[in-house]
Amino acid sequence: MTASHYAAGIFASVVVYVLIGHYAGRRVKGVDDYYVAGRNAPTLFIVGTLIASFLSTAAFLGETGFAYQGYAGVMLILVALNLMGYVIGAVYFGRYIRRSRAITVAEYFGKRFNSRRVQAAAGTTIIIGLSAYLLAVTQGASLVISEAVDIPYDVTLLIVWCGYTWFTARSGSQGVVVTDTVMFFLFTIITFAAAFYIISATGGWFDTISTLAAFDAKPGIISWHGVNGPGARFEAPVDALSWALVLGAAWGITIAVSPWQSSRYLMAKNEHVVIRSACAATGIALLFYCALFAAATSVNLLKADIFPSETVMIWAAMNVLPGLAGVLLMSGIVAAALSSASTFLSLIAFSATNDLVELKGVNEHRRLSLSRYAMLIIGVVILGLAHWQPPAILEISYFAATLFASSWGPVAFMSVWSERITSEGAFWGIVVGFTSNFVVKMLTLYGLLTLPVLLDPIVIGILLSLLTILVISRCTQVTTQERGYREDLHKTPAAELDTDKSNATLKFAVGLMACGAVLAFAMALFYVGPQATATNDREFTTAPIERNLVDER
Amino acid sequence: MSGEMYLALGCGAALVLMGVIAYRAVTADYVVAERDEQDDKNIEP
Repeated sequence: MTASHYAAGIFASVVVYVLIGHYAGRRVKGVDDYYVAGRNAPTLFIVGTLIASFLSTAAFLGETGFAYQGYAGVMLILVALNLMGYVIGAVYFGRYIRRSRAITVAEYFGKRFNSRRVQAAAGTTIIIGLSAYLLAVTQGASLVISEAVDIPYDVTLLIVWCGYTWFTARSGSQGVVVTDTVMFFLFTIITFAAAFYIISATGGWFDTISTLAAFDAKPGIISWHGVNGPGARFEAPVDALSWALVLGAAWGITIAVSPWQSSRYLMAKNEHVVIRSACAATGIALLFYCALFAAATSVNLLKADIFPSETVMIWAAMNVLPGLAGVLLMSGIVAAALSSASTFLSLIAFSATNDLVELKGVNEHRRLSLSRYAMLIIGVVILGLAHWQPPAILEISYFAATLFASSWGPVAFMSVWSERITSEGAFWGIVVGFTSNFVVKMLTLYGLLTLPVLLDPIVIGILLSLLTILVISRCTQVTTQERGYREDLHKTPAAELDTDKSNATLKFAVGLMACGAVLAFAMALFYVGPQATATNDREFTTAPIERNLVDER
Repeated sequence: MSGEMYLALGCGAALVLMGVIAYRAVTADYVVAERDEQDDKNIEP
C-alpha cells in the first residue's frame, strides 16, 4: 500500500460524510430539526452519536499511546470508571433535561433557574471549552493524515476543516447524528478487526499474553498497574491507581453532564431511548476500549520503540494490517476525530446563537440562516487558530473536556436533585468551577504549583464549585418559579408510561448486567489466568539461575 | 486474589452496577408509575 492509497481512502470517506450531511440537510425544515434532530432520534443514532462524539483523536492517539507505553491496565481502570458516567448521566440528568424541551443544555439551565444569566454563563463555557477541544481534534486529525500520506499539514488541515464544517453547517444535528453513527460503525468494526490482525501477527492470543508477561523491555506491561519504578510514568502501583481513580471519576462526571454528551439526549425520541442508549454505549465503549488497548499493547512484540507512542495505531495500520484493512483503520481514526469535531462545532454555534444572544422577533428561517453563518464564522476562527497554534492534542483535549466536570458537574446534578440550589448559586457555581480549574491548571502547567494527584485541578474545581453553590444558595432564596419548574421536571410524562417500551428498556439494563458478567468471566479466563501462569513460569525458570549466581558469588 | 483479578471483576462489576441502576430507574419511574396510574383509573367510579 502506498501513501496515495491511504490518501484516497481517507478522502473517499470524507466525501461520503459530506454527501450524507448534504442529503440530511435537505430534511431540515426548522429550528428543532437543525438543533435537536427533530427530537426523534432512535436508540441506534443516539448510541452512535454518544460514542462517536466522545471518542476522538484523544482515544485513538493519546490513550492508545499510553496503553502502548505499558499502561493498558491503568487505562482500563480509568475507562471502566468513566464509562459509568453514561448510565448515571442518563438516569439522573439526561432524561430530565429532555423533559425541559430545551434546544441546548445551556437553555435547560436558563429555564430551570429562570435566568438568562445562568444560560449565558453555561453558553460561554461551551464556547470557550469546546472551541479549545475542537481546535485539538482538528489538529489531531490533520496531523494523522499529514503523517500518513505525506501531504503538508496545512493542506490536510484544510481538507479536514472543509469536510466537517460543510456537512455540519448544512445539516446541523440532523446530519451530525447520521454521520456520527456511520463513523461509529466504521471505527468500531475496524478496531476489532485491527486487534484480530495484530494479535494474529504476534502469535495468537495466548502466546501474546505469555510473551508480554515476560517482556523485559517494559516489565509489568500487562499487569494491572503497568510499568512502575524510577523514571516510569508512575513510580509505584498506588500512584497509578490514584491517578486512574481521580481521572476516571472526573471523566465520568464529564460524560454524565458535558454538553457534547448530555445534549444527545435532547435529540432522543423518548426517555426510554435515553436510558437504552446509555446502557448500550456503556457496554460497547468498554468492549471497544478492551480491544483497542489489547491491540496497542501487543504491537510492542512487533516494534517496541515507536516514537511518539501516540502514533502506534497509525504504524499498525501501515505496517501490520493488510491493505484494505489498513486504509479503513486510517479512515476510522480520522472518522473518530471528524465525528467529535462536527458535534463540537454545532454545539458552539448553537450556543452562540441561542444562549449568548437572545434573538427576539426573528423568524425560524432567519434563525436557521444565522446559525449556519455563525457556524461558518466559528469554523474560520478555528481554522486560523489550528494554522497558527502549535498542536498539543492530548493536553488540550484532557484540559478542555474536564473543564465541564468542574463547571457543570455540581450544578447539573443539583438542578435536578436539590431543592435548595438558587439561580445565584448556579451562576457562581458555573463561574467558580470553570475559572478555578482553569487557573490551577495553568499554575501547574507553568510549574508555579505542584499538587498531589488527589488534588488535581479538576477535583479542586469541583469542590470549589460545590462549596460556592452551597454558600450562595444558603444566602439567597429559591423563587416560586424555580421550585415549580423543578417539581414539574420530576413528573413523568404520560407518553412515557407504556408497558412495551418499559419492557424493552429493561432488556437493555439486563443486557448490560449480562455483558458485565461475561466480561469479568472472559477477562479471568483469557487474561488473568494466562498472565498468572506465564508470570509463575517465568519466576520458576529464572529462580534456580538466580540462586546459582548467588552460590557462585 | 491478584490485582489483575480485581481489575477483571471491577470492569464486570461496573457494568453490572450500571445495569442495576438503569433497571431500578425504569422499574420505579415507568413500570410502577404506570401500574399506579392504572390502579387509579380502576378505582375511579
